[in-house]
Amino acid sequence: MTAFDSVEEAGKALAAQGYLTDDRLATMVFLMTRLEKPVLLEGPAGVGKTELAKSLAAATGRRLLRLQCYEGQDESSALYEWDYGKQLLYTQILREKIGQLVADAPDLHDAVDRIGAQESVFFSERFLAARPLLEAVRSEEPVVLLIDEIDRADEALEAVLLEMLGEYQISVPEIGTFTARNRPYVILTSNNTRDLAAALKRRCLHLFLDYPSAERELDIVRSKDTGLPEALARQLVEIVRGLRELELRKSPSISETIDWARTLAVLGVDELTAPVLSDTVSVVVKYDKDVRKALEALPRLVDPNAEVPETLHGHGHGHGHGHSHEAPKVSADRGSRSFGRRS
Amino acid sequence: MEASLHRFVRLLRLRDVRISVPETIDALRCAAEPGILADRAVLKEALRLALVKDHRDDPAFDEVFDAFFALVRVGPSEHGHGHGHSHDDLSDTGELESFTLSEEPSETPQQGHEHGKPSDIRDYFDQSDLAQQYNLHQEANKVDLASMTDEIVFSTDNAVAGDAGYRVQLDTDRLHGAGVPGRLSQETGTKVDAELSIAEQDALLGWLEQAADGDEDDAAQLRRRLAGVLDNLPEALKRHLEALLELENTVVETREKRAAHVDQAGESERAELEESLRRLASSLRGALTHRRRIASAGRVDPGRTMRRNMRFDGIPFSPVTVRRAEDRPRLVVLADVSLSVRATARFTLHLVHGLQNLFAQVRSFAFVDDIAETTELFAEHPVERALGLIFGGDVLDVDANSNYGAAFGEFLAEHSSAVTRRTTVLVLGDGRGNGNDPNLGAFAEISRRARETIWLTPEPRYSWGLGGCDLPAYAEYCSKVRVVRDLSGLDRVALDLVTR
Repeated sequence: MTAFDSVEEAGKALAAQGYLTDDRLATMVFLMTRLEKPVLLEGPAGVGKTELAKSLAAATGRRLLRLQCYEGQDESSALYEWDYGKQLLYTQILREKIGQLVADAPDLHDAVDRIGAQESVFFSERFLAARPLLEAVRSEEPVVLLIDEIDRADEALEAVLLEMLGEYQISVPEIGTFTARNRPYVILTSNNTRDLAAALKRRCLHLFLDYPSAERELDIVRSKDTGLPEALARQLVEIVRGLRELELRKSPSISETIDWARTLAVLGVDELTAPVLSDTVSVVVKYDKDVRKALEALPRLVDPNAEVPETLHGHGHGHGHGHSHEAPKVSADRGSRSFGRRS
Repeated sequence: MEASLHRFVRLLRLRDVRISVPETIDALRCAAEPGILADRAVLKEALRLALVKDHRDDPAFDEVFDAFFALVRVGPSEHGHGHGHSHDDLSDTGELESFTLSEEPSETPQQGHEHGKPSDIRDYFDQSDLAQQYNLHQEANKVDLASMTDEIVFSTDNAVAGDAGYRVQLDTDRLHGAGVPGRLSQETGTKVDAELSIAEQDALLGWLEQAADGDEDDAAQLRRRLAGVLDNLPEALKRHLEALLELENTVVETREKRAAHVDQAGESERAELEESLRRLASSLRGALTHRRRIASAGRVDPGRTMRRNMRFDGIPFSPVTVRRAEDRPRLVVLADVSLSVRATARFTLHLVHGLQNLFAQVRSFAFVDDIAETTELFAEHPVERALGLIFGGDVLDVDANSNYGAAFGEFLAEHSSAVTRRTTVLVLGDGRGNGNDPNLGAFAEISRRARETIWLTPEPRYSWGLGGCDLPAYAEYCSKVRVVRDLSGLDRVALDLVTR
C-alpha cells in the first residue's frame, strides 16, 4: 500500500486497526508516509508508541520488523553478522571440491586465478546473517521498521543508525552497500531517559507523545471492548487521570487503564466505589509507595464533591502566592534576593 | 510560503530553538504536502514535527506559531523584523518611561497587585506591603511606586504634617556569611538599613512641597514639572543600595578568601583520602561496553577463532573466547556548598577533587541555589586554590540559602546530558532546602537517567527529621544513602560498599 492521501485518511486507516489518533498523530503518520522520513516518538511509557508502529504496519499491510534496543548492545545485533559457523562448515565441506578445481592447474599462479574466477565464496550474502536493520533494507516487500527504546542503547548504536536513517542504506565492508528498494517506514521510540544525539534527531520527524486527552482515552477504552459500561468507563478514565496527577513513581499508562477496565468488567462491577477500586488498584499502580498514595487519593477521586483544592496546591505552584499573614517577611526576602543578584 | 517559513524559522531561532537547515527543508516539504496548508491546526502539527526536536521547545513554538500565523492574515509584510510584534500586551519592562498624574485626586488609593515579574526595584514598594505592613502610621500611599500604571495619585484621604510622611526606608536582610538554615527563621542575617541621607530627603521633600504649591486642579502643569525628577528616583535609590551591597560584599569576601587559604590538608591525610576513594570507586559499576576483550573464560568469538586457526586449515583447535568488558564508571558529583554544610563542605570538595583526579570521567557541580560546573576548576587548579575560588564566591553565590529543588531543576535543564545510563550520580549534601520546593520530580528524573544514585550526607540519620530536611524524600530515589562527615566516615562507607 502506498502513502495516505490526506490526514483524515491516515487517521481513519489507523482507527480501523483499533488505534485512535488525534490530529497531531494523524498528521505525523500522514507526513511520515508521504515524505518517507523516519519518525522519532518520545514520551512516557505506555502511551502507545510501540502500538502505533504495529497498527501502522497493519494499516498499510507492511511487514513489521522490530529492533529492541538494550544497554550495551553492539551493532552486530542491529545490522548484520557474518555467520562464521556456517563459513567454517562450508570450508571443510568444500575443501575437496576446491582441490578438484585446482587439481589440473599447471602452476600456482593459474590455481589462484581459477579460484579468483569463482565468486567470492565466503564473503557473500549467503553467509550474511541479517539483523533487523539490514533485513529492512534488503526486504523485497515494503516494511515498517520499529526501533524500540533507542534511548536504552549506547551512543555507538545511534551512530550506526545514522546512515540507515538518512539514506536508507547499509554498508557492509566486505560486500558493498545495500540500498533499500522500498523505503521502509521507520519509527523510533524513546522513553527519554537520556538525550539523543542531535544528528539522530535531525534525521527524524519528532513527536512528543503524551498521555491522551480524556475524550481520546475514553474512545480508546471504548474501542477495546472491555465490557465496562459507558458511564463507568468515563468515570474510570477520570480516576486514572486523577492518579496521574499524583506524581506517582510510575503513572498509569493507557494499556493499564484498559487492563483496569477489563478487570472491573470481569468482576461485574456496576458502580465504581472506593473499596472496589482500592482492591483492584494494583492493576494500574505498580510500586508499593504509589499504591499507598493511590489508596489515599481514591476516595476523593471517586467522589468529586470531596475534591477540595487542598491537594491541588503544592504541585509546584506553591510559590509566589504571598499569603497575607506572612506577607512582610516573604516580600522582604524576595526583594533582597533580587537585589543580591544585581550587585 | 517559503519566505514566510524562513521568517518563522528565524523567529524560532531567536527564541533559542535550535533548527538546522535540513530541518527547515523538511518543514517546507511537510507544508507542501496536500491538505496541510488548508488547516492551521494541521499545519502547526506538521511544522512542529519537522522543527521541534525537544519537548522543552514546545511552549516557544506554540507562542511563536500563534503570534506569527495570526499575524500573517492581517498584514503579511509587517512582521519580518524579528521582534516588534505582539509586544503591545502591556508587558512590564520595569522602566519608568512616563507617568501620568490624575486630574482628580482620588479618595482612596488604588490597590496594587502582585505581578509575577520580580527582578525590579519596585518590588521593594509592593503596595499591599507598604500600605498594610510597613507604613506605621497607616496613612496609605502618598506616592505609590509599585502601582502598575505608573500613576501618581495625591489622596485627600488624610493629610500629614512634618517629615515623617515623606520618609523612604529600604530594608535588606541579606548578609554575607550569616544566617541559619531551616524553617525556624525566615529572616536570615542582620538588616542593613539604607535610608536616604538628609540631603536626599530634603531634595525629595523639596519637590514634593514645590508640587504642593500649585493648585490642585493645575495637574497638567505639575506633571510637566515633575517628569524629570521622579524618573531618576528609582534609579538613584537602586544605585545607592547597589553600591552599599557591593561594598559590603567585597569586604566580607576578602575575609572569606583569606580563610579559604588556611585549610591545608596534610599529605598523609590526602593519601588516606585517596585510598578510601579507590575503595569507593571499586564499588561503583559501569555498564557493559560493546567492546569485547579476549579473556580465558567467556563466549567463543567465531571471527577471531577462525583467524587464529587459519594455520590449522580453519579447524578450530584453539578457540578464542571473549568477554564483554565493564566500562569504567562515569561519575557526576553534585556537591552542596552552602552554609548549612559549610563545616563539611570543605571535606566534600576535597572528596570531589580527589575523585576527579582518580577517574577520567568525572563531572562535578557545586550548587547552593544556583548550580555551576566545577569540573574545569578542579582540573586546572590545585585543590586549595579551587576551594578558595568556590568559597570566595567566584563561581557561584555561596551565601544564598541552599535550594535543592532549584539546583536539581537547573541541573536537569542545563546539564542533563551529563547523566547517562552509565553514570553514577553522587550527591553530597544534607538535603536541607530551607523549605523550598524540593522538586522531587527533577531528582527522580536525574536518578532515573542514572545508573545509580548515591547520596552522602554529613548529618546522622536521627537529625534528618529536624529543621525541614528533605533527605527522606530524596532517599526514595537513591540507591544508597550514607552518612559521611569526615575521612574515617568515608573509609567506613567505602569498606561497607565494597564488602556488600
